[in-house]
Order: sequence, then structure tokens, then C-alpha cells
Amino acid sequence: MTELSRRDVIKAQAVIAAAAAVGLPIPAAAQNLVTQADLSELTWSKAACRFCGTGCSIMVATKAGRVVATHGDSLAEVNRGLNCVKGYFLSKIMYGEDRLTTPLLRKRDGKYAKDGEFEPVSWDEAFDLMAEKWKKTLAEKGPKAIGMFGSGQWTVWEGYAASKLMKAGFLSNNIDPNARHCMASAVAGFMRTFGIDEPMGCYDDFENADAFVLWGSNMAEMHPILWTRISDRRFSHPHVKVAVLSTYTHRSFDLADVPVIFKPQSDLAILNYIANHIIQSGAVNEAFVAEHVNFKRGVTDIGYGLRPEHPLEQAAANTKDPNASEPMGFEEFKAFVSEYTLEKTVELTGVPAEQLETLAALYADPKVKVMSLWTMGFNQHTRGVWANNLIYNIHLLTGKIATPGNSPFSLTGQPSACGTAREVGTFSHRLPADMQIANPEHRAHAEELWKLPAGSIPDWLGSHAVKQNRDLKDGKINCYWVQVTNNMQAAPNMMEETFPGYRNPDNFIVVSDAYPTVTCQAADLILPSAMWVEKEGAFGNAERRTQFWHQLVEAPGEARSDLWQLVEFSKRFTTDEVWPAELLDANPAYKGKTLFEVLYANGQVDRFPATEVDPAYHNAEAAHFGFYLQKGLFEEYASFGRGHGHDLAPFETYHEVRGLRWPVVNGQETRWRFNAEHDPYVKNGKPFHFYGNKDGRANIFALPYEPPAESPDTDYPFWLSTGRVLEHWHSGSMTQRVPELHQAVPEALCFMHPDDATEMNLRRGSEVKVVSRRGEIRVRVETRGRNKPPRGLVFVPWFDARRLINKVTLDATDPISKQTDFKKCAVRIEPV
Amino acid sequence: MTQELHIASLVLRSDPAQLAAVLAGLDALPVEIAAQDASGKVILLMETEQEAAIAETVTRLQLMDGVASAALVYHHTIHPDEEGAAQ
Repeated sequence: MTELSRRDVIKAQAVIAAAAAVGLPIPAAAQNLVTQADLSELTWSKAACRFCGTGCSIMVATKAGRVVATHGDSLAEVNRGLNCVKGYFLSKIMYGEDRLTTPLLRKRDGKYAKDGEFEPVSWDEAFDLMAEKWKKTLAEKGPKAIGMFGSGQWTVWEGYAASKLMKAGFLSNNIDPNARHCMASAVAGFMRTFGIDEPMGCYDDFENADAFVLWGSNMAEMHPILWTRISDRRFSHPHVKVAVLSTYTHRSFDLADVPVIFKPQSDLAILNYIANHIIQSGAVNEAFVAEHVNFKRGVTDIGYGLRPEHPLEQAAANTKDPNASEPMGFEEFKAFVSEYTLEKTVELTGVPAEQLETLAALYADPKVKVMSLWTMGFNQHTRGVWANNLIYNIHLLTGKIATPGNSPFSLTGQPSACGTAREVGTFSHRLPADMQIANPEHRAHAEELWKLPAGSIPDWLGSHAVKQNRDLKDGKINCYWVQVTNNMQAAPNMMEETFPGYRNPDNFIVVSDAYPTVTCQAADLILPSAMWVEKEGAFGNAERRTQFWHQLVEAPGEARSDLWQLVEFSKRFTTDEVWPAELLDANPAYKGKTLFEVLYANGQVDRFPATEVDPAYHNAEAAHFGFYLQKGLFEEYASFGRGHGHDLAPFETYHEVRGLRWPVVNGQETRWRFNAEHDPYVKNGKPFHFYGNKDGRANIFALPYEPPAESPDTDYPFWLSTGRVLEHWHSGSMTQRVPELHQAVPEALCFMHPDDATEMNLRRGSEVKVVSRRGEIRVRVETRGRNKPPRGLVFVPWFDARRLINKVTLDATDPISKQTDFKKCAVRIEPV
Repeated sequence: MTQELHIASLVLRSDPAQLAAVLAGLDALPVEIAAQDASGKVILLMETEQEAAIAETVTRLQLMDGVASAALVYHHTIHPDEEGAAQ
């Protein structure tokens, strides 16, 4: 075939794929050409995008061991053939020039030295030293002195294998995912209100809602494919309204019928005002509330999750049990929110009265189906759990919940924040399928399914993300393993907490990653990881959809999957070395076994032979360990949730379909949980059943506005908010390696109001220092562009490893969820 | 052919009320309009040796007034050593 005709065929193919994706007729010229298409030489396979929590499915073509073409998966309900700019770069992220391909250890004079330089070592040398450090620490100080930090980018079985290694192998609950930084407040909000995690609705709500309300979320840039679905709905149905709330103007405001800029932290007041408006205007769905809702008064004055000696913690009344609440009645709730009058809310928020009234009317009108959407604006908030509870209040008061188009919807930022971090139970306080470490029955159930001796899973709560960094600095955790996350860059207050902890001479820090991130640079041992389609994987997206992919290419050099690393490392420990003598004396059958035998070759995880792997695909782990490791881990994990509201389909099903939304019962996915028409777990004979709570009811919480941990003053007169931009995702460790993506937004900027700039004699492009009580960075001023702060607020994105905004941020957390508030602290701007 | 050739299709979701202005604005970009309809959907085709041009174009499209979203659908890299393409 000639070059011209081959190009024409590929172009026709490209146009046809696009026409199919958006439902336009295929141009005739293209139609004629594909009949002679010779594209069959490519092997196409599906894979879930490894970037954000949307969960798009991508078709990937490989040729000679490399990815050569991609297109949005037209069979995928999530993205329907579309692909955002991040997904477009999927095939390139594996081929960065500085990809890690061998373990690297800090050495001097041929030996490990904390202050040495990185030198290549073998996996054996790396694991020998790691095992020696782990054993010494466990023997001297016990399981509280080791820790692990993982990720919502772990595949389902990686998170499961890691959680099991820590909680059931090393008997330590000191494992937490970076989802603590992004989803912990959403999780605690779900658990307090519904007693079960994750949204009741799904993406089908986009085509059913009459109004969309974005609480802080900038979906146009952060969730562009879902934004396309909202845009479609808005443009093709003129009655549809979009409200966008934020502390600064961003790209999503372009579509906003109701644009709302509010003062940081005052979202709590807006939420209570809307509840008050609903009650005062007679819009309460009384039948729904009487049948399905409890009212509770939460404790207040709960502090800011800082170190206990901090004056703000000393002054707070309820730091001991911030999660406590007591029952109350509707009349008491009504009196509680009645304080949030329109006048008071205007004063607290700075939002014009008519905007607040328009917004409240959307929720109050019984004919308007409302979808509320949020991500980090609510979750990264010292009252983030409250914000989640308060949005559910509004949907519960009106009964606008768990039906098509009526949907309070917590979006996620990472591809498997739900599927791995949350559902698998990689948090320091959780076990699989929403079970809790603190609950003795839950621990006993996990021990039974894991075939462990009774009483082996520790009953103490492990250290969460921010506390792990404090424990490292304080020398309480001495052996620490970080996988698939760039926490040096992501964690708050890095100069005072994170960095000193990693470089504490008492500590040995191991980081597994595909690229040399700043976290790698702060480590003592770097392990090279396989990524995305270099391994068989599974993710769970924001709408409870579990998706699988096969290994499509080989990892470079000595790079190995995180799963391989975890399971191979477990071979180096015996129970005699790491379990207490009393436990082994009482259960002699476990004596002398390796952790590999106890955790993975346990008759369950190893029960599927390697021959069950689809012969069309390689599977590096099955080849190495001799059994179908991913399937064994998945099926053992699935046994936790089946019959308990978290049912997953059989393993093979997920390699066939474009994902299914759990619970999957009798082969059917569930789109709207708690709704009798859609959810087989509704068994109370009523239209709705909030079965996560024992009494079958959801909880409405009375919770007030409380001020933030730090506000601008004369020394630090500006609010600082941090966030993301479209072209970079999270810390940029992958996206910054793709040259063209990097050129699009080469360095982090400080977005500020032009009048603020003028007042300080600054111009667009001027270099400034952003200074807080904790640290400072240098950036350039941007007074135009897509992010437009109001006066008194600056916005700095956090992807840039050379301009680490977390030198400046405050490590205040929500006292309930332990999630950091990256959205507000006080800074001053100094010209350089 | 000595360079890689990239072929990509893109989809725009624009405000139907601003479609005419959006289409006019596309003249300044290295794209070919393959299809469009009155609801504001536009299919664009790109053929370039500069892969960076694809990301840059998507970014510029995303920032155009009247464009709600710009998405990529299909991307194919034809390597210089590929059989057929070299003829």
C-alpha cells in the first residue's frame, strides 16, 4: 500500500472513531476508505486509564512490544470513545528517558550509608538489606516502628497484597494510602451519614439531572470527560442549570448559570443556609424524612489535627472524640440551622443574596433533580467530614437522593482511590469491605478469611499519612516503604515535617517508583517499578466500577511490579522472626513458615494455576511465582464483600466487560444503591433502605460553621489556595516527563488579582516569594489566564517539583478524617 | 518518510450559540474540520510530524471561548521504518 493511501485509511479510521464517539454521522469519504482498511495488523486491547478517578477505558494497540496507537474505547459507558489530554499521553508515560530500571542504594565505600550516593544494586542486595533493617527494627521496637505508604494508584491486588503483608504479616496497622490526602473526608462523611462507603448514584445521573452544582470542583480541567457529559446535557436541554462554587474563578465558570465566589471555609455556612431555606420554605420531603432519616448533633470545637502541643489543639474542647454525636429531633435541627439566615450567610461568605437564593431554590424545588459534585474543595478542609455530612443533609431533607439524577456525588482524583485505597481497606483503620480495625468482630472475620490465628491482627489504630511523617521525624517509625506515590511533594509542611523525617539518621526509607521523584531523592533505597500495562491490573473508579486490563508490554530493565516486590519480599521473613512467641506457642502449626507461605501460598491465593492466564497475554508475576497471583488475590479479597453489599463478579468477567458497578448480584451491576427498584440489598419492603446503618436510616447532622486553622492577618495578608491544572496531574511525576505536556505549562505560577499586583508594583511575570510561617517559594506572578482569584487570595498549583508549594502549606487536618487542608492558609507576597 | 507521523482525531463540545465564532477561530489552528453539527459538536482531524502540536492544539482548543470541552479520540503513530509507510 502506498504511503498516501495508508495515511488516508488511518485518517478515515480516526474520523470514524470520533463520529461514533459523539453520535455524528460518518462522512461518506471516510466510510468508503475503511472497507479497505489494513489496520488488522495491530493488536488492540482495552485498559483503564491510569490517571484520574473518572475511569475512562482506552483501546491500546501494540506492535513489536511497544504501544503505537490509542483510541477512546467506544464500548465504554464512562467515556464513550473520548479521551482527555492526560489519557492521550498514556502510551508515552512509560518511555521517559529517566525511567528507573535498576534498584539504587545510597552507598559509600561499597557499603550502605545514609549520606552516601545512589549506586545500582541487584534486587537481592536491595531486599537483603531491607529485610535486615526490618528484622532489626521489629525485634528491637516492635511492629509500630515500621510503616508503609501506598496509593490510590495501586492496582486492586497490589493494595490488597500490601495491606495483608502489613496487617497480617508484620502485624502492623501502620499502612496508609495517599488517598488520605484526597478522599479520607469523603470516606468519613459516607460512614457517618450512611454507614457504608462510596456514592449511591453513578455517572448515569449526568443524563438525568436538571441541575448540577459544583462545590469547589473544577471539573472542566480536572474531570474533562465527565464535564463533556455535563456540557452535553446543558446544551441539549435548555432547562438545565449549572452552578459553580469556588474561592476563585476557573474554567468551569464558563458554563455556570449561577457563578458563586465565596470566602474560604464559608461553604459550611452556605450549606447550612440552604438547609434552613429548605425548611423555612416548606420544601422538606416530610414522608421521606419520617421514614428514612435520623437527626444527630455532632460535637463541635474539635481542633485542627495539628500536633497535640499546638495552642489551637490545647484550646479546643473536643479533640479526644471529634466523631461523637447525640440524637436530636427535627424541631431541634430546625432551630439549629435557623441561625443561618440569608443576612448572616451573606456576611460570612461574601456571596450576594440573590446568588444564594437562586442556589437554594435549585435544591428546594421538588421538580428539579440535582446532582451535587465535589472533590478536594470539600475533602481538603479542616471541616471536610462536616462539609460532606452537610451536603447529604440537603439531599436527605428533600429526598433528592438515590434516584436517577438526584445524586450527591463525591468525585475522586486517583484511578483507584475507591477500588483499592477504600474498598480493599489500605487505610490504617480499615480492613476490606468497609470493615474497621477497631471492631473486634471485624478483625475476627478477617482472621478467619485470611486463615490466621485468632487475635493476630493488631487492635491498635495505625498512624495515618500526616502522623507517619511526624513519627518518622520523631524517630518512632524507623523502617518505611513508599509505593506509587510522591509524598515528599504531596504532603503538607514538608520542610518542618516530611523531609526531616526521611533524612532522620535513625530511619531507613525505601521508595518504589517508575521515575526519580523528589521522594526517591529523599530515600535511601529506590526500587524500580513496572507501570500501567506493563502488568495485569484492576482499578475501581468513582462510580463503584471495577475494571481490569491485561499485561500488554514488558517493563524495562529490572523494573518489577509493586505486586512482585511485595510478594517476593515476604519470602525473606519467617513467622518466628516477626510474630510474638505467645501467638506461635498457641498456634504451633504456623511456626517456621515464611510470610509468603502464610499470606500468599496459603491454599487460597495460590489455588489458580498459571495456565489459567489468557494465553494471548504475558503475565510476569504468574510466570515468576508459578500461579495466577492476581486471580488468587482478587478472589480471596472478593470473599470479604460477597453477600455483604460489596459483591464483585467472578475474576474472568472483568476481562470481558468494560467494568461493572458493585454490588454485582446474579451478574447484574447496581446503578442506584439504597433504591428498591435498582438495589437487590434493599430488603425492608420500602422504596428506600439505607442498609449501611443498622436501623436502615441515613443520618442528618447538625454541624456549625467554624473558622479555619489560619486566616490572613496583617503579617500574612493573603489566602493561599493550592490545586491542579489540566495538563498535569497530581504531583506531575509522570506527566512532567512527557516533553510536550511539560511545555504546555512549564512552571507553577502564582495566580493573583491584577489590582493586588498593581498595589504591590508587580506585573505579570514578576518573580515573587510566597511566604508563610513555615516556609517560602519563588514563583512568577500570573494576573491573566484561566484562574482568576478575587482580591486577597492567591492560587498556586502544586505539580512543579522545582517550586514546592508544600514548603508553605499548613499541616492542619480534619480531626475526624486526618486529611490535610491544602486549600487555605495565610501567606504574604514579597517582590524579589 | 524520515520522521514519525501522527494522525489524531479530536472532538469539540461547544456552546451551540457560539458555534460560528468557534469555527472561525479554528482557522488559526493546524486542524481540519471533518464534521460538525448545529448542536455544537465538531470533529477535527490533525496530521503532524510534531507530536507536541497535538497537545498544544488541544490545550488551545480547551481555552477557546465557547468551547466547553476538547477531547481526543484517536491517535496513531506511523513510525518511519514501518512497512508500507516508507513506500
